[in-house]
Amino acid sequence: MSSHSLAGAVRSGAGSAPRARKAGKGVHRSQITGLVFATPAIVLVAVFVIYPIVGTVALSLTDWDGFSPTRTFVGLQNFADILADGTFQASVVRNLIYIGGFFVSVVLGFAIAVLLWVRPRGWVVFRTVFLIPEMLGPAIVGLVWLRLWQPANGGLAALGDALHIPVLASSPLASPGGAIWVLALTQVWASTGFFVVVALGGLQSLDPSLLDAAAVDGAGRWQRLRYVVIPSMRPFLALMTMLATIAGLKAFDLVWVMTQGGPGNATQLLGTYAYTKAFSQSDFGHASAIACVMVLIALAFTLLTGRRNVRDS
Amino acid sequence: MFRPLRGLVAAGAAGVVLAAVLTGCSSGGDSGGGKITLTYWNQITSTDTTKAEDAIIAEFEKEHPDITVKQTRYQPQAQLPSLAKNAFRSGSTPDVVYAEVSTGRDLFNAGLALDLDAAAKTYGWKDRITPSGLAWTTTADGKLYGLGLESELSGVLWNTTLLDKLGTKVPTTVDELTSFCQAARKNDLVPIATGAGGGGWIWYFYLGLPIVNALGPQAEKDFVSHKSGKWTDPEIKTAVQTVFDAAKKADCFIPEMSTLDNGAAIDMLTGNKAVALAPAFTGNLGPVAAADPKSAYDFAPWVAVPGGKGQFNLQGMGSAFVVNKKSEHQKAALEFVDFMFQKDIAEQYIEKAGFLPPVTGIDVDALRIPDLFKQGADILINHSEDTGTTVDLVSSDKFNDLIGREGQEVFDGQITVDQYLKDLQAQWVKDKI
Repeated sequence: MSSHSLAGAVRSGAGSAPRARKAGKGVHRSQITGLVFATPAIVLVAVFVIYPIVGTVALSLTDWDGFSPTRTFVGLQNFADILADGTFQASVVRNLIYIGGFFVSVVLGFAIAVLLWVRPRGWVVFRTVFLIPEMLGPAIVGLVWLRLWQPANGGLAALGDALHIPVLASSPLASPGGAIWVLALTQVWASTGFFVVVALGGLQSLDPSLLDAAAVDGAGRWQRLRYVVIPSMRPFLALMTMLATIAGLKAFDLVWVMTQGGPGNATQLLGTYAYTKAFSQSDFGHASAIACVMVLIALAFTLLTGRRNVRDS
Repeated sequence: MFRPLRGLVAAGAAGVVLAAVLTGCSSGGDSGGGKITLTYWNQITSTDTTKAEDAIIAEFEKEHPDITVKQTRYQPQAQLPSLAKNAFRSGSTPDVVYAEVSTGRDLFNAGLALDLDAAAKTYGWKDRITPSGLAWTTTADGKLYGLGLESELSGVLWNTTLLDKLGTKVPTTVDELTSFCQAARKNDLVPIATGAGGGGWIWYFYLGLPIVNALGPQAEKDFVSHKSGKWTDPEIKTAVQTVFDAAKKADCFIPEMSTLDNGAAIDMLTGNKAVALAPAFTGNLGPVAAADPKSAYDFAPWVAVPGGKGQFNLQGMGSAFVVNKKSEHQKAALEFVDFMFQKDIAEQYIEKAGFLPPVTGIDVDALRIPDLFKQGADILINHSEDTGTTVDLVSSDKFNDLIGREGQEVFDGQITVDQYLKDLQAQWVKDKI
């Protein structure tokens, strides 16, 4: 490198310093502007998301009854208690069954979406009909199905009597062993429509040329579904699975309306058990500990599926 | 540069002054001479009762032209306890709340509800309200923190017309109960309708009703209020066992009762699909008589238990008025509460709302209410010493939840009566109440 070029480089370096400072100032100003615009969102997230989470964690370390002015710090005792609590352990297992119900909804939803995707006659009507339970909301769905399962005036019990189906006639919702399955089944009915719509959205975004190419190559319907449609739908299926898991994990409303976690504790899920602890037993410490465990499970699952999605992409 | 800011500050200051003036005009103090707005929260939601209460409040406002009652009703009822607790802790609103006795107790223990001892003397409540009525809202050391309006009896409501058709009478012993249940089943009738859905509260009564028969009213009161015995005592176990034997051995109940609420059970009774309703309350008597006028009914205690003291009803208290200690209108609030316990107002509550205020000197026979309701009212007003105490009103939330959930588990055969009573005793010892 010549001295001229070195000098030039030095000059250019000397000359670039103020520009860099200016640029630095510019970046700084834009950062402040950005921060100002983001402040309302940051405040909202801090107040409505971060503060409740921190508050719940703090409560989980106390024996607060939800009302008293005093609360005693108990360390991790609440966590030790719930992990040793048989009802909590059974709630985890039941929650898995319930999440399994959501997975059935995902599979059914996808299957129905594929059927609707080929646009049979009246497919728009079917799409709307499948979405009705989702539009009703879990509380109303719960009330309707509770009525159907009741032994005295319920339609299913009468049907069971008429057709001599003892399982229906004796209302399995009242059976400690059967109630959770009834809830899972009701939930399948309630949530399948949502997954139909999500899957249909995914299917409609598929590039038709891929299917045409596969058809030209001699792929039949089943092969096109298996080797083109399903692989192309993987991101949607992953999303549906994640939504199903989180919905199953935080399930509350439908179960509370139909059984309040009963008979006894036979349909307690993590959400209903946390609610029971807090509002039926005035035991906010243990309730908050259960909520923290739920958050940890959801976080672990989201991280796992997120990492897998990144790897796949 | 600061001109806009100055303008903003000036506008803000003007707003504050205006707000202060308006606030001063609208609320005022008890002694300020202005019109007072008394805020009143309650959980009365049934149509007949709200109509009756609206009329009573209108009457109060007519007698007290300086007071306007701003009423807010909460539904579902479960909302009010937590709302009232938070509201009392954060300020002076509401001035008066009408909520569960246990909510009043919690508010008083937290120093947020007004001590009513002085008011009781001023208004003569101890002469006008029955001792058992006042006892529900009195602490162990004798402090009055509220006034309960809805005394109630619990027992079993029998359709005697159907019993006649079955050729039997109201059962009074375990053997008679077993025979009756068999006869009812043979005739495709549900012997006893029970709605165990809605949180398991019915088990408070399925424990209490046989226990009061085993121990007698006074001993039962001592047991639940002063922990004078143990849940694992043999006489308690014998008493409680009668309920589960009626379920398992005599098939008296609906096996799927956990899917039914109390309303569905009442419908079964008035629709003549069931012969009896248990637990039944004095509040049910009027509506049942009105819904099924062709049948005759009898309100009776649970069957006598072997080795027990006889047959008795249980007494409870629905909800109570509690005054906010931070209320700016305490005098008006006390006037309002006192008004509700005047004899003519109490009679209106009985006739129009189906409530039974524990007010002395009411001539039950003169009231325009169904005879069936008179039967319960007479026991409550004139023979309340012959009744036991409902356990949930003197127990912790955790204990009550345990009664409900494990009671259902015994019914479903998941745990034994021994385990149930052992668990209750363990929680009973832990409770600070």
